[in-house]
Formats: sequence, structure tokens, C-alpha cells
Amino acid sequence: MKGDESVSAHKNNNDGITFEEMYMKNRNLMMFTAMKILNNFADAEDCVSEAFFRAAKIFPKISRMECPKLTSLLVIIVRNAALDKYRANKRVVAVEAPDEETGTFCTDSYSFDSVQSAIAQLKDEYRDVLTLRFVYGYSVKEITEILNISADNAYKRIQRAKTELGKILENGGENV
Amino acid sequence: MNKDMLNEALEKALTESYEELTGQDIPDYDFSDGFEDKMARLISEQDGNADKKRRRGIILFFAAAAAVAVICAWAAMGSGLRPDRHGDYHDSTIIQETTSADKNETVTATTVTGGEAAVTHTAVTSAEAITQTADKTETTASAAKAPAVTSPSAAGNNSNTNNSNSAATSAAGTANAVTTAAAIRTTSAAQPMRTTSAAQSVRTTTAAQPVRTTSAVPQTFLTTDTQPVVTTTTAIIDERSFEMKKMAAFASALMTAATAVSASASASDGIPRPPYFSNVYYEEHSYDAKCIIKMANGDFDLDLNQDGTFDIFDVYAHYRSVFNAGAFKEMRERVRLNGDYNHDGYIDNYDTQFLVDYYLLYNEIDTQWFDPMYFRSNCPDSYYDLVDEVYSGDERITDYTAYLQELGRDYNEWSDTIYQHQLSSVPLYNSKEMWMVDIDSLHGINHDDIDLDELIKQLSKEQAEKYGPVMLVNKNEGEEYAVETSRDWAFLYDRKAESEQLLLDNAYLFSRLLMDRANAMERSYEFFEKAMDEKIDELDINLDGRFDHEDIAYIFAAQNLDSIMKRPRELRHSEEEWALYNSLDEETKAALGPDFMKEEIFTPDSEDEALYIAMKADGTFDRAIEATKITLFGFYKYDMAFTLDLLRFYTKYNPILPEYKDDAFFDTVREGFSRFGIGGYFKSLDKNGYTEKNYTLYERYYNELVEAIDNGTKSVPEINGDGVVDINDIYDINVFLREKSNSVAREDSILPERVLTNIETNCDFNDDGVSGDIYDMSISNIYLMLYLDKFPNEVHEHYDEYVEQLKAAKTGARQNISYAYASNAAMMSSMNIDRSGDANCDGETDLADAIFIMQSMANPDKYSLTEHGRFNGDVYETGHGITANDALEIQNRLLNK
Repeated sequence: MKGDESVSAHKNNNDGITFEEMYMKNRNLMMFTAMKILNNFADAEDCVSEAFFRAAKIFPKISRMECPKLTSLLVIIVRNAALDKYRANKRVVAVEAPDEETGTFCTDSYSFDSVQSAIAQLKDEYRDVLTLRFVYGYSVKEITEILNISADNAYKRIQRAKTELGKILENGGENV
Repeated sequence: MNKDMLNEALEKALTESYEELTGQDIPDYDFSDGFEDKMARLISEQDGNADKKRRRGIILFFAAAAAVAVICAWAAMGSGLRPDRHGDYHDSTIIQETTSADKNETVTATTVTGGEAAVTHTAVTSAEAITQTADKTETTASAAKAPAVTSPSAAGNNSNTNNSNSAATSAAGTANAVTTAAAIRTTSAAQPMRTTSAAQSVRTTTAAQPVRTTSAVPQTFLTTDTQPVVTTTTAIIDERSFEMKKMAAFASALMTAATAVSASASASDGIPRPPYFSNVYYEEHSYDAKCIIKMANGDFDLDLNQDGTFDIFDVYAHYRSVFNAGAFKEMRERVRLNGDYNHDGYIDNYDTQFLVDYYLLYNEIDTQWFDPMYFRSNCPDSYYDLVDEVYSGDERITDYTAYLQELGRDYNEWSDTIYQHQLSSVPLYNSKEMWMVDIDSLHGINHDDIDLDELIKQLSKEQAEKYGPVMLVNKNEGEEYAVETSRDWAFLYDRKAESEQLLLDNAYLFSRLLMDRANAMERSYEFFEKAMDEKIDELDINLDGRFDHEDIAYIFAAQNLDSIMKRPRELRHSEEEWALYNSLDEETKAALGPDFMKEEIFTPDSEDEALYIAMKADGTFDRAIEATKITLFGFYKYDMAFTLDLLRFYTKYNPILPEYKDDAFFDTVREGFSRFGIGGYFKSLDKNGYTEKNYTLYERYYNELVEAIDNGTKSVPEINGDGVVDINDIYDINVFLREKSNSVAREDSILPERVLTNIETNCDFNDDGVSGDIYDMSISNIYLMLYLDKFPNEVHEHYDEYVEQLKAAKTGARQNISYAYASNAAMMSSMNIDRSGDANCDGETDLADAIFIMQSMANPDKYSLTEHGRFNGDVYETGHGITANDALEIQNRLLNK
């Protein structure tokens, strides 16, 4: 990875990566991600450190993860931390959509490409939470730790993400 | 779209995202020194170096302290040292100043299992906390045996209540010592405050909201995870020997080590728990629980009104600020800066709720909080109150209880009227502060087809004029009709919100929030019990000098009769209503249904009426109805809550005999009472005959049994009549109780006749005249376990085999019930009964037990307390689990021998 070439990628072995290795390998990318959102160095540093602290909580589980997946997870964590910080700084009152019934997904078959396209159109928060849930397989409780949100928020976010995804698909793959 | 496709698509998106990320030109950032330092510490912790060193340090410290003490004691004994060589021997105190390794340093708390984020604390002097624990010996000693309760009035100071109160006081005191420490909360920007209008819903509990299951063993209140400067003052009696002095010094060293251990131990040992934590709403290790614990840790400046103390008025300040309820700018700004307790970036009603919950969890509930007048009269802060502008002078409520009771009466009248007009057949949905009447459920027709507005107007004109507007909702389509102020509409508010004054009254709304949260966390029973104890004489409905099952019967009978007698006698429609109905087409009439305009005359059952008249005449009816108002500030959500609390209160002083579960039995109290299903109320307590959370009566019976056996008036319980006290007696108890809970008939029991006969004749251990009831069996079960030095998990090793033998020997016995061994460990652990201190279960209570407790707290993986050891070792504030204070208490007991 550019920027961290001095640290060779640690191959998966039975012992997994050390925390230091994980830190050295990913810190610049995480900083880059946070800076893109916050455009403020100090705030971005705060978010990166917060992200590593959250990662520390689950480190025993993730230390044996493959590099791409581990890096992506760290990016998810720091991105969410940065978004939280952004909202806090801007005194943005997130207009939470009212609780919607998610209903059930229609059993009509959607093509893989349409699903993938719909995922790409999801906003980051929603895509991240679905990724944590379905790709990384984290429980809601674990997601609350990673994203530092309450269980209630975690549930709601997953539900809304699924609802939003369904809407995009039903609208022919367009996010209206 | 199926789940697999979603997974696959997400995986692919992840991969593409990774490629995109890593393909970018990522600069090498020059991180700040502070950031690098923070990360360096985190790395060293995670990669195990600091953790290993710290653990080694603690164990070495322990070993060193122990070694010093032993050496000194041996040296003193062997060398003939004269006491007067030690200048301070004759002093009454030894002052030892020990410091933790990080005295006065800003330390970063360890990352602990369970996931506490590292936070920065300044050192907190917790001398107060330490000395407080030393003072608690007396409390513990006096709790060893519950006092015999001979009459309700004598039982005002129930030992269990006292213990929990003293625990709460000490815990709260220590908690306050923590929370008043300088709170460190680094926020780079003020948090946004999301104000809420008064009408917006607070996250109140509803009847349907699940109560979190609780562990029967309350979590103990432990010291904080900050590194303290420890100044230890140990009072020494002059005439003590030198050896004992050194033992005391060792105890002090142990206390210091205990503090150090708990400071660096895992989350479950080092983080303060409120005294009531296990009873409540929050799951251990949940995110929400951590928000509460962070408050206890001093992460926030909770003195929002800056009066130098954190009390209920600070909670009130948060509420008034968040709910846009007249808090002035300065107050709102302080809340904005300090009030984001769940770290979601907003200051909102969730934060208020967390603060309320924290306060309720860490403090003894004061019944005054539920009277809005308390806040109106005592709040030190100024708020703008719209309600005082709108309502003044005589209009202003001064007695909320009376006002709410009056509203309650109005509600009953309204519901009667609705019943008259058949609207009671409609499911009524209570949401926020308004009743919502679902049109389609009401009429089963599309509201577009008929001018329902007009119909409802005409049908309910009288109610509309009296009760004002309500919201009409078409639930299926998510539509809401605008709330009209016209009184021609048959709209009705929730009974408590009928009064606009209440909706504007922030003191009332805040008190209601407190009550809702107290109910949610099962704390409301405590003040119910207190209030009931204060007025227990009023519960003697039949004036026989006792509060017993008869009085309970009178109360429930009166409540039933009250409801029956209030039913409307006539159900008739006006001429105008008939005219309108007749003008409808046949299809609409059919849709409305045949009963829509039903009319009838209602006559109460003559027996009910006769009983009512008789009870009114002798005063029992009025006394019973008045008794139900004892604790009401008008806040009980529904009658059932009062019913269950009353029954629970009943069990504080009285047993539940098997006959109480039979409705017919209550005809012996008063002819006709069998009609009211009173037996069902007693059954509802617990199908096994006791309330799970109130072991007061069991403790009393158990301790009386112990005393009787100790002084020779009773012998050790022998259950199965074989003349030998052994594990089979315990097994037989379990079989017997299983069969009881499954209503197995005597002839179907797998127990031999000898055993059944002995249980029925020789097992009245609590001297209540009944042999072999739930109390007899439970207390003898506990006694035998302790007598045989067995704990529940050690008892049932051969239980299954024993049951099979019984089954095989009894032909024709029922085979289709489960005889699985039911551990009563939770009950035993929660009960306030003597503990030996033998934490390592080696048959001796000595220093090794204290050390074992400390080792298990420092390294639970290596030094694991068994269930039996936990039971034995819980000597300090018994029932609250194992803490460092138990180790200290064991030491104190050894010193004081």
C-alpha cells in the first residue's frame, strides 16, 4: 500500500498480525479517510485514535483477518467516527427518519448486478453497517462497540439500510 | 433478493472499495506527539507487554507483603522483641501512607475486557471510600440473623431493607466521592442540543416493554478504576499483641493491594456498580450500561446547576434544558457542553433518560420526587414556566394526588359513556398523550364512503362537550386527522392528559418521567413498600388487628365491586342519534354491524349488589378503596401494577398457604368473595408459591430454624424418615418440590410412602402449622446443604440416578414430568444468611481464603472461585457478590477472633 511500504504486509499465519503492525500498516489510510470527511488535521487524528481504540476492543478477533478485510474494517470504523465528528462539529441534528416498517423484501429475483449497483448507491453509513453485519458477521452488540453507537441506533441503522436498499432496487436501481 | 446474494454483493463491494482505497496516493502523515504517545501506550497494552508487567507487579507485591508480614510475625515471636522498642506501639493508630505506582499521575485506564474505551482520569483520593468499607463490619455482623417479626408494626425496619439501604447509602456515598472528583471530559466542540417540545414523547416504558431478567445475585459495589493515593488509617487497640499489630499491617497492605488490584482488574471488578444494578433495565456490558457507568466513573461534570452538588435538581436541569421547558440560556449551554451521555453527538431525551436512570440507580429513591410540588417548592434554579402564566391563583394545582384522582374519576365516566355507545368494542390505542381511535377498526368501512365526522359528532356530542378533542387515526393508511379544538368532536385525551394544565406543567411531567423510569428499573416497589409500611394500619381492612390474607381479600373484592357497581345501568341512544342512524343506507348499516345501536338495561347481579351494600354499611368497602390510594400520586399505569406490588408486600409479612390459591377458600373470609377470583391473584405471585425477588420471609424462617437447632429446641431436618441425615434428604426435597410444582397427585408420586408421610407430619420447620409447605422444604434444603457442606452444583451429581431408582421402585408412577434438579443457588446466594468465609472450600476459614479471593479477582482464569466458594466468601454485604471487601472482612474476622 502506498505510504506504508516500509512495513511489509504481514502474511497471515497462525499467530495473526500484531497490533503495532496493524497500526503501522493502516494509519495513513485511515487518516486519509478521516481527512476527506473532516478536512481538519486535529479532528482527523482524534478520529483515527478513536478508531484504533475501538479496534483494540475486538483485536483478538480481527488479528487473524486477511489484510484487505482488516483494512476495510478499519476504514469503516474511522469513517463512521469521522462522520460522527463531522455532525458534532457542524451541530447537525441528524434528522432521523421515523421508524419505518421494513416489511419483507420482495422475493422477486433481482440480478446480482442490480444488487451490487444498489449497494454502491447507498450512503456510506448504511453500506458500512450492512457490511459489518453480513460480510463481517458481527452481531448488533458487536456493531455497537465498533461504531460506538447504542444498540437502538444500531438496530435502526440496519433496518433503514435494508429499507433503503430495497427502495433503490424497487426504483429500478436508482436512488430517488 | 436473497441473503446470499446480498452477502456476495457486499463482499464484492468491499473488495472493490479496498482496491480503490489502496490505489490512491496516500500521504505520509506527520502525526502529533500526543497522538503518537497515545498510540504507543495502546500498542504496548494490546501487544501484551504492559499487561504482563502489571500482573507480575501485583502478584509480586502480594507475595512481598505477605512475606514481610510472615517474617515479621515469626521474627517477633522468635526473637523476643519487646514491644516498647517500637515507639508507636502504644499509639492508638497506625498511619500508613502508601501510594500506588502512579500517585498523582494522569493515568490511562487499561483497556479492559468488555470494552471500556480508554479514558483519562486524574488521581482521585479515595480514602473516604477505604475507611467507609472498614466501618461496614457492624452492618454486616448485625445482618447475620434477621430479627423475628412478630407483627407488621414491629417490622418497620426490616433487616433486608436496612441492609439494602445501608448498602445504598455507603455505595451512594462512595459513588458521590467519585462523581465529585474532577471530571475530565475532553470535547473539542459543544455538543448540539436537540430540544424537544414538551409534547414529544420521552422514551417512557409501556406495559409491553420487557423487563430485563436479572441475576439473583446483585452486583457488588466496587471501588473505582482510578489509581488512588491511599492514606490508610487503622485503629489499633492498645492491648493488642505485637503479632496482631503486624497482622494489622498486613491487612493494610492487603487493602492497598486490593485497591491496586481492583484498579487494574477487568471491567467486571474495577468499575463501580450501583447497588441495584442487577435488578434493572440495563444488561451487563451493554452500551447503555456503559453510559451509566461512565457517569459513575466521573466522566461527566454532572453538577449542571453548579450549586456544588449533584442531586435531583441537576437531573431536573437537564430535563428542562432538553425539553425546551423554560431553562435559561446559561443553563442550556452548560447542558449542551456536558450533557451528551451516550456520545451520539446530540443532547436529547435519551441523555435525559440516562441521567435519570443513573440517579435512580445510585441513590435511594425519595418518594417526594413523585410529587410535582416538591420541584415547584424546592428547586434552587429559575425556570420560565408557561403554566404559571396560563393558570394562576386558584386555578393552579396544589394537590396533585387529588387532582389526578379527580381526573381518574372523569376517565371512568368517559369510559362508561363510551361503553354505552359501543365504542368500547374498538381497540383503543394509547400513544403519547392521546387516545387514537382507529376508524377502520371502529366501523369496518372505508372512511371515504361516509361522513364519519358527522356521525361521530352526533353520536358522541355529549362526551365531546365534556371531554374535548382527541385524535382520530386511520391506522392502516398512516393518516392522522388534525386535532380539532372544537368541542363538537368526540375526541378524547388520555385521562392524565385531559388536563391542558398538566401538559404544560413541567414539574408534573418530570415527576412522571421519574416514576416511569423507576417502574422500568423495578425500583418503584421500594417506595411502595416504604409507603405501605408507614401506613400499614390502614391495611387492616377488617379491623382485626392484623394485616393478612383476609385484608387482601377485602381489597380485591372491593375493587371488583367498585367496577361492577359503576357500570351504567342503561344503554340508550338519543332521538337525534336514532334519526341519523336511520338516515344511513342499508349497506352502511350492515357495515356498522347489528350491535351498533344496541340498547339495554343493566342490572348488577343481586348478590354483588347485596355484598356491596353490606360492605358499604360496615365500612370495609370504603376502607378497602382508600387503601388502594395509599401510594398513588396518580402514577400507576394500570391496576395490575398496584395489585402485584400489594401482593409482594403481603408476602413480606405473611405466608402463602396452598388454600389461598383456591377461589372458594375466600368464602370463609366473607360469603360471596369466591366470585372475585382472589385465588388467582395469589397464584399469580409465583406458581411455586413464592416471589422470586423477596426472600425476606425465607431468611426469617431459615434463621429461626438455625437458632432453634443451635439451642436444641429443634433437631436437624430429616426429610425422608430413614433416621439418617444425608444427601438423600436433599434429593427427596427436590423430587417433592418438582411434583408439587407439577401438581402431581399423591398417589402418583415416585416418593415412597414413608417419605411422603414424614414430610406431611414431621416437617413443619417454620412452625406455621403446616408441615411440608414451600417454606419448610426450602429452608430445610438450604440448611441441609450447608450442614452437609454441599452447594447446589455439588449436590446433584447422583441425583438423576437416584430419581431413576425411585421411578423404578414405584410402579404405575407418572413418568411424563421432568424431575430435573432445580438449583436454588441464586436464592441462597441472595439471602442474607451467615457465610463461613471459606472461599477456597478447604474446610477452614483463614488467611488463605482472603488471599484466594484477591487472587481470583486479579487472575480469574487461574484462580477460579467455585459457586460454593463464592457463597462462602460473600461475607461483606452478603448477597452482593464477591469483592475485595470480602477479603478484608475475612481478615477483620480473623483479627477479632
